[in-house]
Amino acid sequence: MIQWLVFFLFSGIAVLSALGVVFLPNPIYVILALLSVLVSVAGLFFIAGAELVGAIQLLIYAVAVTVFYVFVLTAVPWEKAIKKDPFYRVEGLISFPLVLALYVEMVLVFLIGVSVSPKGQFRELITKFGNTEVVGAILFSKYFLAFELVSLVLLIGMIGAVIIGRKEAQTYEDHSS
Amino acid sequence: MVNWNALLPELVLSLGALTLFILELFSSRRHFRLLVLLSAFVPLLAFLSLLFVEYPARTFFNTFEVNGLSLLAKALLYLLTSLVLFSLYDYYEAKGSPYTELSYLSLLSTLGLSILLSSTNLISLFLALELSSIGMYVLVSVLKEDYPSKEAGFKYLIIGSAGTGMFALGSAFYYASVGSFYLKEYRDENTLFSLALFLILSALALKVSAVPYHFWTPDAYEGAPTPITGYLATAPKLALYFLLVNLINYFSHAKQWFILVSVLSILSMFYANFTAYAQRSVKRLLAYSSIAHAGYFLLGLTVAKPELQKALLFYVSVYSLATLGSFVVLSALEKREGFTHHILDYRGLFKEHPVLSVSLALFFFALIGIPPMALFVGKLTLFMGLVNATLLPLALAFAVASLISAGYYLRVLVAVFLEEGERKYTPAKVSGGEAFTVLLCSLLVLLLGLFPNLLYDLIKF
Repeated sequence: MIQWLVFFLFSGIAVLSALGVVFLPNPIYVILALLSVLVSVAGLFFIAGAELVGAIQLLIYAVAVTVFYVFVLTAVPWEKAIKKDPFYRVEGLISFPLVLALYVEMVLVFLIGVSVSPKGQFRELITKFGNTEVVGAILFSKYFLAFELVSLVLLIGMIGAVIIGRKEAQTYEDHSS
Repeated sequence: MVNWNALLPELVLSLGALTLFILELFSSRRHFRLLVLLSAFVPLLAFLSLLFVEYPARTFFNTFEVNGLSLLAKALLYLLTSLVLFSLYDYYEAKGSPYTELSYLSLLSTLGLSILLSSTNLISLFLALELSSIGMYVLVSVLKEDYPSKEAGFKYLIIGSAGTGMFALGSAFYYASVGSFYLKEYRDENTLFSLALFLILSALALKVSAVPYHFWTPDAYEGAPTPITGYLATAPKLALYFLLVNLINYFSHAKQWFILVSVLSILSMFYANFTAYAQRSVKRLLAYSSIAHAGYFLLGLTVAKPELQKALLFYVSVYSLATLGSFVVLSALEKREGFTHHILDYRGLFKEHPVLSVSLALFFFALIGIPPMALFVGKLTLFMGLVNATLLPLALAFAVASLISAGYYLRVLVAVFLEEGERKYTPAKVSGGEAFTVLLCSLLVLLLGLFPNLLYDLIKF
């Protein structure tokens, strides 16, 4: 019973703040609303018993990503960040059916996916070992190659961002020559 | 235990890339040429290490598989990368943008493609594809004081990310229907599996630039530094067709496969071949030629028949040699002051640069499919394969599209050989690396045309 109450509390906050993300005019409020969405989604994960995913959600999205948004806001000039016209009505109307189709598709996938997916093999493991251990065991055995590849992807992404982001004149400020 | 032997070429590549990364920290722009030349030897080392790999083998909990076909693909891939790296230093020096990072970025991209060839699991496939694509987004955008290259990189990034998204969603649907991320036989037909098939095929079609997912191709090819365009047009295409030939065993039983692939290929062939006539820039024209070739290659994937796929793989291998050669010729020409790739700039080229013009003509004749070149053998075997698979309409469409394509290549050659140029340019110096690449590509295109069995017999299923 208490689980349901908490679930509705968190999902209510999430929906309300998501509306805030879309409708609030001030970029700072938008980011705060986004933060609130992310935290409440993390709460939903905790209720569902996926404490690892919840913790990662908090660490990566709520902390790292939001901080990045704040950085971007401080870097971008204010008059450009504030939208002149807050509502893109035509675009909204055009994209609405697509968004609706996406949600219907997601619901369908969940409904069908539950019936086809493996018959609860993981449920046993999770109750036996706990969340973090199960994810770790799979990540560092079956998907170890993928895990290592991620580090390379991050490396090349970082290098690329540095190369493209720096000023071209400063590419070679050669102190030695 | 991990079977390190199966990973040998990838280890060589990644160690090489990391070594260059560290060397790059301690070097300045004076060492640009040295670093790039060093990096060109890394794929050659990886190429040699292929000889010591025992196959067939699987490692990392069966997520990584080595077999004869993937080794052949890796050999060609390393060869192409090495040739690109040999040919690019002079272009960047002439353009005044010696980015030493180039040396390891292309190696990391090739590493991604190399892992792509051996993945048996959608997760590692996805990551390998991302590794190679991100490397290419960066490679496209680094040219100093050149706005089009930034624009090209940005467009490529945006559209490429759409492809990545489709691949990820497709993998999710695949998991939902099959219950595993491993590629395996799955005979059941349901909507989820069809969606997975559709999304994964779309993502890969986007990466090989088939119509209607081709929008990034002309812009990215035109904006990118020309040697990098040579890389974009060859190495990823080669790897992706080997991957698609691998995937055909798992997907082609679905009814939708044949329809999707043939629609993609017919659209690509005809759309690109007609649009190419409207192009004024030769570099952009070659981009459309690449889209048209994506159409031809996809014909080889319509039905699962070893004969057809062998023809396809031979064709794509020799095609990448000819394309790389022509882009290297273009990059050598672009070093001249004020030269754009507009077709009018090509008039009277033969008088100034006879050797470059003749090699350009050789590559263009090869792309049309004139007999002594290897691409003719590719076209012929693909055509015969289609006829034997009782797909006569597709075979005829292929022949007609190839005929249409001849015109726009020939128009460039007419400008090069028969027309008089108005502007005088300072003659371009061809660097040793460029000469080597052009020579090797043209020799291989001719040799494999005269003795196609040298490569054809190596393609085994």
